[in-house]
Amino acid sequence: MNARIVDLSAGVLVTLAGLFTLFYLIPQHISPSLGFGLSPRAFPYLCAAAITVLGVVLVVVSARDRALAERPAPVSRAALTRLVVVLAVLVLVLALMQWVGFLAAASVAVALLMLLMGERRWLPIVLTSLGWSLFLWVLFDRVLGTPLP
Amino acid sequence: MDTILAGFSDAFTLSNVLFVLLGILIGQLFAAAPGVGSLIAITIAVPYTFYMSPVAALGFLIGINKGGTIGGAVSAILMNTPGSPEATASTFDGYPMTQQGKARKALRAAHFSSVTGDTLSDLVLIFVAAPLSMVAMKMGPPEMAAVILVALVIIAGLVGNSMIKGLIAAFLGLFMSLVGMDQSTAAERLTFGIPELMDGISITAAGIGVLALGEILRQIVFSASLPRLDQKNSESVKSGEPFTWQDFRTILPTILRSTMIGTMIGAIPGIGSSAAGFLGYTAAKRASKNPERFGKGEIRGVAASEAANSSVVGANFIPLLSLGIPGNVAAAIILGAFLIHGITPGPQLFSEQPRLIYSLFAVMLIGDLLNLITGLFTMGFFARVIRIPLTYIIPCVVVLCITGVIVADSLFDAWLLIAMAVAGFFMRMLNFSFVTFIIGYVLGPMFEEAFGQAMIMADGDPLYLFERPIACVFILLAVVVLVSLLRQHRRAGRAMAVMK
Repeated sequence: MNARIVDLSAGVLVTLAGLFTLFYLIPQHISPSLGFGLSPRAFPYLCAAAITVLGVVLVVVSARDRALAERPAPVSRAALTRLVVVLAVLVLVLALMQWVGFLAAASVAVALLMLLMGERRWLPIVLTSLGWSLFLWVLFDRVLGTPLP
Repeated sequence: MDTILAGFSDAFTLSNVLFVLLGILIGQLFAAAPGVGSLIAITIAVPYTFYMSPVAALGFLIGINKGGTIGGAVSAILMNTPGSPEATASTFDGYPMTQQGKARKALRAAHFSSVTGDTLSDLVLIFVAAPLSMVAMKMGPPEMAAVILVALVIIAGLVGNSMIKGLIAAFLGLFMSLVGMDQSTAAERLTFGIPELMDGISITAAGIGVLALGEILRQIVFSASLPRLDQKNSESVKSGEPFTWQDFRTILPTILRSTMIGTMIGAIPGIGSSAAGFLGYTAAKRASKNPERFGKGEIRGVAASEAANSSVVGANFIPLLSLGIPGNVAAAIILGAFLIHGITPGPQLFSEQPRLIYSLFAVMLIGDLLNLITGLFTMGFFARVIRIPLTYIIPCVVVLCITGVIVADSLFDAWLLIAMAVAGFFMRMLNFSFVTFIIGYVLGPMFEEAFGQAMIMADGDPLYLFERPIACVFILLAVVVLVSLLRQHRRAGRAMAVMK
């Protein structure tokens, strides 16, 4: 895959998203004019139309740009896989926060991310994850009185 | 005069000064650590300002912004790795000076140049913003809508390397700001029956997601590995050649030239500190009698880059305070903080809340002074801080981002934060300017309001525009800027192809 294919795909995606917004999202999920002032749909239509047109322009420009074809794609499959893993950690942490609370979930988050970034020594992982989470919990939940999950 | 004194006395309270000081130390710390940067610090700090008074909150955020101006130079000079992008030009001569055992002198030159540039640009802001706002007060909704359009076009064209992608990002940002209840008709827009979306996507979730967590995701995914500070360079911070009064006299003309360049660039939305740093450096090299010394450890090179990139900070507030349009992304985040505290920046602020404006100016000047004083003690300390590996810093910052959004909004917004972070990651990867996206997002409600009022005033008559010559001029300017920047991008693309 090269940068031209990535840009073309991005252009097509933006155009399709623009069309979907114009013909489905706005008519279905924004109330029509209430008879006074500017319709709540007016500005969203303007933005969505601009996004659609610019998406088409991006497709045309990318298709004509030969230099782009010689550049490598900005994201590799390996990078995307790693992104999915990091996102899985973040989703797990937010889900954990609802079930077991902030302190445990935040400690797990720091520990897993340190592991993902290459730290393998257990003592720094345990000390950093517990110390940082405890600090934030004490500061917000106890000192400032902002309840954390 | 009474208002000015009252504003200054509001600012000079112990708690406000302490918050500015705290902001400066946080800004210096985040900017010194490579890979994090003061922009991430400002973004993450916004939700924590809910506990503060408006003056303290703005002082705290401005403090972070100012602290970042000197912190960014530390790793640039000691490790050849800029802590923030704007310090890139400081590596050209800063690192060679470190290699020659002059790290102490280089750091101090960067410190004094930054603070001088920043202070002078704050003074320009103080003297220019009020008269400009008086002109801006005469503008009605059509002119305001046209000005925002020009600003978005300029920012889209100047930030990033694709005008089309920049404009797409700007409109996506505008569109995202429309989620929630319509401000004039109270109609629900794109809430999908989710009550938490009635207030829209919060600035904390959008800002922290796209700006901070998006960048952090990129660093985790690509496991950014950074060079380590070696022992010899670390020692030269303490025992190397000192910075003298003679050195300051040598670099003063360079500082003044760079400050002028940085202030002019800062007042134009979109160009930013990095470009100012490079332009300041280039101007100093051109003006020098010994240009061959640049790049080999010339102290004027460090001063030129640091004074220029720091003077953008104050000047960025000129369009923000006089027109309500942020000059760069840090100003956009501070604009978001203004709105959170119920303050709408723009020309009317000078007539409605002049006391607050002068408090703001006072905290800026307090920030300059504290930046000067703290820098004398902290630069050496940061030489040790930058040894902390990213494997410790980044996981802690991720949890800080999530905590900030939960504290400011709710757990639901933390889910939005992750979605916005993914958007921020892909914007970076695919070269869609996240800066333009955030500025579009922040300006969205203001743009829609001005556009709506202009439409109502026109009453469906397209010729109405010709009755508003200033609006016509701005729209024409938007078209001219759009066409010329598109041509410029095209020429740059061709030149690159030829070079290949």
